[in-house]
Amino acid sequence: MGRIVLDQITKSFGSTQVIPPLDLTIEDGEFTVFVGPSGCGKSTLLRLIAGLEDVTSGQISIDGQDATQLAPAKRGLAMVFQSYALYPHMTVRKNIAFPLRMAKMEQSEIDRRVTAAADVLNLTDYLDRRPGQLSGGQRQRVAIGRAIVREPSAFLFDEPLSNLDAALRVGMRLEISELHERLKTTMIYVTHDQVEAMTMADKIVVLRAGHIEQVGSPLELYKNPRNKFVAGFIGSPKMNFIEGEEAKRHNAHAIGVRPEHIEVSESGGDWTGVVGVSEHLGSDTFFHIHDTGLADTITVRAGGEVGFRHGDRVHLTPRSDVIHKFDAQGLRL
Amino acid sequence: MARSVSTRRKALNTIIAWTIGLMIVFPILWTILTSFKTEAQAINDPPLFFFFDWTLENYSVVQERSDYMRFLWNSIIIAGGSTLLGILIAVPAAWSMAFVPSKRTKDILLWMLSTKMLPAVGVLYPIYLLFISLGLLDTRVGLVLVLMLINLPIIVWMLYTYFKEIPTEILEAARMDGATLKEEILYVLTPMAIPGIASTILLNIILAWNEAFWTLNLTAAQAAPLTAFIASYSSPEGLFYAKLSAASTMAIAPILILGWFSQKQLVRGLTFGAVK
Amino acid sequence: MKLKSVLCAATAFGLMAAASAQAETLTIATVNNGDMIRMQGLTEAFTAKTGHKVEWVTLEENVLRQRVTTDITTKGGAFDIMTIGMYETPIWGKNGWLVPLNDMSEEYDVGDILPAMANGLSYDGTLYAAPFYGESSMVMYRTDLMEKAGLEMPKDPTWQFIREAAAAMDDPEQDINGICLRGKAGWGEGGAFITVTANSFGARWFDEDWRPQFDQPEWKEALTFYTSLMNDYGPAGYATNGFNENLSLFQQGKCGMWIDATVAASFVTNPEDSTVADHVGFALAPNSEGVSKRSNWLWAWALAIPAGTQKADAAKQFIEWATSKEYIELVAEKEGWANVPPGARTSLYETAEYQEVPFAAMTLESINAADPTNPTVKPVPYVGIQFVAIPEFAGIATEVSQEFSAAYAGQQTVDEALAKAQAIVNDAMEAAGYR
Ligand SMILES: Nc1ncnc2c1ncn2[C@@H]1O[C@H](COP(=O)(O)OP(=O)(O)O)[C@@H](O)[C@H]1O
Ligand SMILES: [Mg+2]
Repeated sequence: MGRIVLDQITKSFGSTQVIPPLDLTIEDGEFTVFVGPSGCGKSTLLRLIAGLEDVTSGQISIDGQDATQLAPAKRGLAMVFQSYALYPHMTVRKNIAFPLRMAKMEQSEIDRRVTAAADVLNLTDYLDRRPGQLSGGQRQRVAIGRAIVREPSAFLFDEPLSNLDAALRVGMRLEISELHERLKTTMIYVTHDQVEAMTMADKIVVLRAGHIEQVGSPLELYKNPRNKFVAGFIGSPKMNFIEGEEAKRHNAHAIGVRPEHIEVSESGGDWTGVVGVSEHLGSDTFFHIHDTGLADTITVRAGGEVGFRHGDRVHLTPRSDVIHKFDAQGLRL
Repeated sequence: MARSVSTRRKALNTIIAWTIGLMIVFPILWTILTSFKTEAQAINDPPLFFFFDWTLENYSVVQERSDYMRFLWNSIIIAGGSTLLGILIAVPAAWSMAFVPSKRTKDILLWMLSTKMLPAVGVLYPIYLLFISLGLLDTRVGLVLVLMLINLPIIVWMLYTYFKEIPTEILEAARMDGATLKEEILYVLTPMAIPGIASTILLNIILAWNEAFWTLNLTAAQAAPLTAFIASYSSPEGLFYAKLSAASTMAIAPILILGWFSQKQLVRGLTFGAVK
Repeated sequence: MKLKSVLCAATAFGLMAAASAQAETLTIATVNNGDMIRMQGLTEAFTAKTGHKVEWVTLEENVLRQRVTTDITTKGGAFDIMTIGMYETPIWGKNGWLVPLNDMSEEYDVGDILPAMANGLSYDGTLYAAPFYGESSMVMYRTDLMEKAGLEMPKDPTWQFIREAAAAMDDPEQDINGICLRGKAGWGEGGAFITVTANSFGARWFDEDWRPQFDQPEWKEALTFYTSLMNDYGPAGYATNGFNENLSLFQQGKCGMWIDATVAASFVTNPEDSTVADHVGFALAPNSEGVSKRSNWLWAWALAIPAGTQKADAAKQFIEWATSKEYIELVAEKEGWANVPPGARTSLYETAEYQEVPFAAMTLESINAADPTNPTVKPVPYVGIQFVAIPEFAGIATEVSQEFSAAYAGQQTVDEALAKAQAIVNDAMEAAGYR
């Protein structure tokens, strides 16, 4: 139903190539997340799939059919924009009904679908309001409602949560995941937030400067990052990178240890350092350790009850089985 | 907490605002006042403000001498027609410039505006000759066309700036939702730009209403609008200020009334920008 | 394609209409002045007589001039009759833009037109426009103030006497200026006035070889006299006063004397508008002592037929009617003798009733004293008194009058203004190919 294949597609704006030749397959029903730093081409890639931008070269097929030259509306995809892009002059009802109206659907069928979507999205009481009279979360739901009524073969989301506050974001994240569970429709979701990527995705595509750095499930990427970039991008807090003598001991140009893979104690360990800032989350505490002689700062994740103070001298021990080794090019050894 | 403004400050601001406001309105107010004076009172020194014998004589003289309704009707058709025609042409033009700009869009916009910098007299003869051979001289159709062309750059510019304010994403959403180009312009762009379009229409009606070069130079008896009506009361030899004022008042009254009733719309349009 | 067929249909329809109907509709371009407006009110009589209808296009003088010039040079045919002045008539007649008026009917009596007017409206002996009304300029003065000052105005004052009288009547405490004169830039405003003033000091615009004469002593004398007279006894800001401003001042009793168009006489003696209506006397426009030319001008608003019109016959009928003795009688009957258009016909001044109008005699005398073909003491290659009847004049004289107005306003000296005028005119005449 929603298998999307990108074959050697490129995109240039004028003389600057934003997407170098790129291949990617998104399986039907898969929740795929494009993640990468801002400006890396995620939105461009999504808009190429949507048809809002034309590819410079290459081929896009959707459900086995060549869609490269198809108009956006003909591709059977629905999109949710970062700014929601609701029609400000229409009521919520009209907003949600708009794609159906454009499809010249029967009014009774339109009503049925709008009612059903409003029900699912808790918008029933707001159907006669205008977007301007809704909160951010509600607007986001309207945008999603407008997307689902068409029963598209795939959903495209472009950073849909980045305009929401933190608490709402977590809630909406869950709602979208639930929606996917229920509909089992292909979803492509763009974000620069690796937490969203990790929590929602079946498959993560990590992008850098238009290149795909790695494709895989969240855990694959966490456990086996292909290079330093992916290793640093996936996981929170960020992986610690250590170069020099210590890396040489492991026969690598650089080694990486995730904060959660380092033991911290008063008594003794491989490395020593002085406690700087500590961030108490309750369940966990993040310590930023200085003066280790290895890197500027080593971040360590410890249990919530561990209580070192600023200036305390501590000992660190990395778990030897999860030390990542990288060569001079940053590739995993 | 709202910022507290001292009463003195408020009073001062009010006075300043009123002074500036009055200064702007004064010429119009004075014209209207003069239209109710006799010719002798009109030139009285010191000037008379409110305490003179108000008379309607000027209006009856003007009414008797000229067929006001014919001039008015011509003004309405010329101003309204040229504006509507202009809008019909400018909406698609501004749409393409705002949403599918090409490398030359900026140049085209500037070039269009530059045509406004050319003094009109410079093209009077060619246009006059064109009008003669097309039989458009002294016709309303001719003036509708010319004023439409004259004001088109301004209409396109105004619409362009309004359209620029509309987030592209909303139009893209419409495209994703299956709207054709026509449906996109009709159901999404135009309704969103209504305040902007309305104030463009209004401003252009005012411009066309007051346009006094082409309307005077391309008309004779048949298609002459209210500008010609006013011009017929201006006299270098003889003091007819009161009658001239009465004629001017009659000429601007319709547009003042239109402006009065649509001022909300106009202000909203001119301060347009918060669509999101 | 559509437009074209519509136009074709319209043309065909128009031709049919023209062929089937005898009565024409004439479009007449005119200026806004009292006599013209009065005529608009009386055109029913013409329609009743001939069956032709009349549509008026009334415009401000300068707009009219531009409008009518455009139409006539492009043969636009928007007008069947145009109101033009003495300046345009010989130029346009020479260019063949006007229908000659050499076959007027017997009863029209062309010979009755005042010779000065007929001369000024002809080119090469052919009349191209019929005078509707004509004017010269003269002195209007306050008889009460003169009496108070113990002076008596001669019929033919000199500038030197005018200055003396101005000094005597000038009374700043009573807000009375000794004299009010035009200073406003523009060839038909202050430009016209300073030109006739210069004539009366023996100056001229050009010598026989079209060389500008602003570097000659006569011009310096004239301009120096005018500025000193006005600075001493004129109203403040006179550099921007034109006909209307001075009319307003005089009507409110703020001028001892005013030298301007003879038509102003009917305004300042009209008790409805003028506070001094009963105390106005008239005299010939002054000259400088010993100079043979006076400072009175000659102007006519005349009706002419553009060469492009399809309705020349009907247009000629209208002109005959509007400038006839019959029309003058019609106005006299309806509005009184003081309101008939003056300055066009000899017979008017022979009418007993008209001779009773206070300014009639002086108007006639002023008109007769003006000779457009021989306007200055020294010989000139041009026709025209307060203007030079060449197409370039309006533009050149407007520029020159701006320089003069700047001198009146004290922004430059008389010498500077004259030097600039000389340079401006010299360049313009060379560019226009006169030398
Ligand atoms: N319409 C455009 N014209 C020119 N450059 C563009 C355009 N859209 C995007 N870009 C450039 O392409 C790159 C990728 O942009 P984008 O896909 O929006 O990044 P992301 O969504 O990952 O932040 C950026 O460098 C951006 O400047
Ligand atoms: Mg983006």
